[in-house]
Amino acid sequence: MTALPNLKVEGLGISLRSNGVELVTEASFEVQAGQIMGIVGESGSGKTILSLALIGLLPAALKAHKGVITLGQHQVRLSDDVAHPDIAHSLAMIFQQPQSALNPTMRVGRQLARVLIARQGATRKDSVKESLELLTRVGIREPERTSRMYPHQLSGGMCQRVLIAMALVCRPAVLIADEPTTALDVTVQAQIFDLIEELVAETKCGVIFISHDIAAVSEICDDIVVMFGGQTIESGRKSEVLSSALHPYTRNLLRSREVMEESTTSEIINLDLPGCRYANRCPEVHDACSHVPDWVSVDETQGVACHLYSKGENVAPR
Amino acid sequence: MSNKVKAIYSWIKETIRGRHLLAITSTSLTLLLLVGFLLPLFLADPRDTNPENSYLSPALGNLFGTDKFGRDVFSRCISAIRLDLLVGISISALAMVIGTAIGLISGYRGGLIDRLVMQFTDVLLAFPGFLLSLIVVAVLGNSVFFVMLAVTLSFIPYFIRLTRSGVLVQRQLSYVQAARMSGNSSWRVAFVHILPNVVGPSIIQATLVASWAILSVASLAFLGVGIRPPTAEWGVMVAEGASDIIIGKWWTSIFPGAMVVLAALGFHIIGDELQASQ
Amino acid sequence: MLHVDQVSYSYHQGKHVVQAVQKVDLHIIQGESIGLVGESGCGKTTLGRLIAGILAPSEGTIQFLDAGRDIPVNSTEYRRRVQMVFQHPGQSLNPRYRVGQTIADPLRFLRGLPLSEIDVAVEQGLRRVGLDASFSIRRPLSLSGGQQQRVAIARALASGPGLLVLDEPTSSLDPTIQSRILRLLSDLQSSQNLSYLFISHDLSVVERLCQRVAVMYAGQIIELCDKEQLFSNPLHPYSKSLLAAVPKLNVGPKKKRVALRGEALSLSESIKGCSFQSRCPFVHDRCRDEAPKLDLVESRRSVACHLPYDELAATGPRG
Repeated sequence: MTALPNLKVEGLGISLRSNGVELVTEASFEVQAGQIMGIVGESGSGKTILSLALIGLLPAALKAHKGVITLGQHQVRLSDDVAHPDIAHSLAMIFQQPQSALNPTMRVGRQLARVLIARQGATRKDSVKESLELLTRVGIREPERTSRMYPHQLSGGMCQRVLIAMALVCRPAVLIADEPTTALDVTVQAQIFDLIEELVAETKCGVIFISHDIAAVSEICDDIVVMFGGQTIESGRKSEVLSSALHPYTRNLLRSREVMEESTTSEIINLDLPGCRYANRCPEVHDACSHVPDWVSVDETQGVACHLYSKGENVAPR
Repeated sequence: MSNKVKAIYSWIKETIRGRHLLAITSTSLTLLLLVGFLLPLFLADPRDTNPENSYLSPALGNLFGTDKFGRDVFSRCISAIRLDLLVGISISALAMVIGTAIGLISGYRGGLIDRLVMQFTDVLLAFPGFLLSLIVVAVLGNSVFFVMLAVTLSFIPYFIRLTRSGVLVQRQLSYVQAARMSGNSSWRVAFVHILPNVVGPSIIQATLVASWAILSVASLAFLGVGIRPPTAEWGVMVAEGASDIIIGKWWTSIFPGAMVVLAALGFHIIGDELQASQ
Repeated sequence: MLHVDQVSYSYHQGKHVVQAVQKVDLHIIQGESIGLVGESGCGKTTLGRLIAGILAPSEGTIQFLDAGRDIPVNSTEYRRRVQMVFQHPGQSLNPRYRVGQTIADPLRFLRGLPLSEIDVAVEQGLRRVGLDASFSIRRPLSLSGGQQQRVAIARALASGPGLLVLDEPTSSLDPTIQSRILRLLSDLQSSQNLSYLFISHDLSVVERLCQRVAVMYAGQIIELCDKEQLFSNPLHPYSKSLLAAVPKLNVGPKKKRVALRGEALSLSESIKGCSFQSRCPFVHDRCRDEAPKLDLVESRRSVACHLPYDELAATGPRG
């Protein structure tokens, strides 16, 4: 099987069309084929709109004003503000509320078949056959019976499996999963995690796993990217980031498993603050923090955006 | 003084903002009602017959002309305002109160009561309102009172249905259960807690029903059911003046007809606008 | 203090009969808090409502024992002693009622306070949950989720209850607000000598506030024990899977996961034998014939499973 390409995102920025306020200032990461990359951040960190920008589903009020996405031999400059189907069609996405992501008036088998017809140009007969195969592949034990059901007759876990099946139709290079198990029971979450890991092992696609639950991310992901205030502030292998976190925010997140007390919407509105967006909550804040920190690559895999590590100073974590 | 005036002025501006049609119509209807109460004091008695002046065309002396009996059409139209509007409003209000109460109880209690009420509603709705009124009148007798009763009866099912569906939704919400847990009796939960939250659509429906009620009463009067000559009522006037059109005397029926349309339209527009602004 | 004896609840849904709760026994002692955990559809919310008196059991009895008297579940006395806090605070407050009126209701109807004393009592109630008296005239929609839940808690406490049934009270709140409300509940637990029946799918929250835990599956309590016992060594195969599935911060390489297979049984299907048989890794013939009863296997610990205690304990927490 030909190796799937890596997805590289450099300097992605997203802002409001109306007044240019930046919701994502600088996001950069690379998703390796066959690896599961987690994006962790609190609500308002920009992790969801980031994924929407990649797949070309940004709401009309937002636009990507800068950044470059590279997937294999395709590259697109987001500031051109045009659709980028070459890349977007190799990405697939699953969302948080599985039941509401499906059409409530249509049987799930038919919904799946329609995706097959639309994306692969399959005939009706073939689409039915292939949809049953896909349902089996995502672990649904009675595919004929399930495909005749409506979404409200299925549990959240089953619906999410159907959505994963739909995502697989596109044979994606990268599957974006935006909080896919947050609304599901914990035992079902374990099942979906198993499924995602199996599919990655089988197809060698990459996965972007977005979540606010760092424990879940630590269970399923190989690499981690931490986002705060619209910026990727730290990234690296999971073991590196979790055991020797560099950015003060990451350390705080890991130390107190509870979310920090001051996380309110008033923080998010303060997007025009110059300098590092974490400055007013950071225990290590100093003069340099009035400027936006640059990205520093600490070694081959780990990197951080924080003044504590710029210019090669203080590379060793405290 | 001027501060208060300014405050009232800005309150009016704020309420009217974006809802110009609503504002215009409500003002017009209110004016109409005022006119209907005040103007008759200054006009000729609508029942005054004046055979020599029969069939005068509309002119400055008789704005809407005179009819077969020399009665001033204009003063008859104006004096009919009170009757028609009040009839429409009271039928609507009565139907709303009765229908809402039944719908509330039925939706809250559920079970056998609910099923019986629904059957009853279905039966009532099966009859066109007109037919229902005719039947009631045929059975009970041809009088204003019975006609109003009949028309009210034909509108009650709408309110029952509307309120009941609102109650069914509210009943699931936890504040209803919390109210029970706080010690409220079933009656209090239904009337004090749930009712304020479901009555909105009913009020809007009531304005529409008012317009239908006016039309119904006028149409029935046209047929000779309920309000009858010589009472000045728009439907009666249209009935009496209908044959005059052939002889070219259009004003005896067109003006009262136009009043019916205007009044009914007014209420209808208000109802529509309220619904749209919800 | 609270006795739930062989309580069942079933209702009709079209052609099916849904057995939401099946022959549940539960006893809560004064001052003790029990967590009721389980996943969607296990019946924990229904059991909570039965205990709160919102639903009437199809079978069995619920009684509140106070100073030797049995107080039946549908009396005002019971309502005074057992109150409930709901999951969606915005929904549990009447949008047309001001906060003060909402809290005044139980004071009037359950405590019988005369109107002259209501205002003072309402202010007291608000202060107890960390809100100041000015909240009394506010309407629910102008409050944040956390404030709304505080009002709901104040309302529940107004009648001076001994037992509070809390149905996922923090699940729909922001994570930061969640911890504040939990702290409030924890403080009130000691200051007001309250017992909680804390229904949740989140085990960490239950660990914080409760001493004992009951695990529910398919309408039945399948394990009931002290929280330390459950978290260190769950016995029932479902409890093992449940605890194993909760994500824990894992710094090292990925561990092999043994996810529970299959789907939870729909409550409208009744089968012979244990309701967990289709998913249990230890299933054998007896499980298909006979439904296990909740039996005491250790001091303060009951499990509903045919497997003997030694085997269950030996297989360890991850099952």
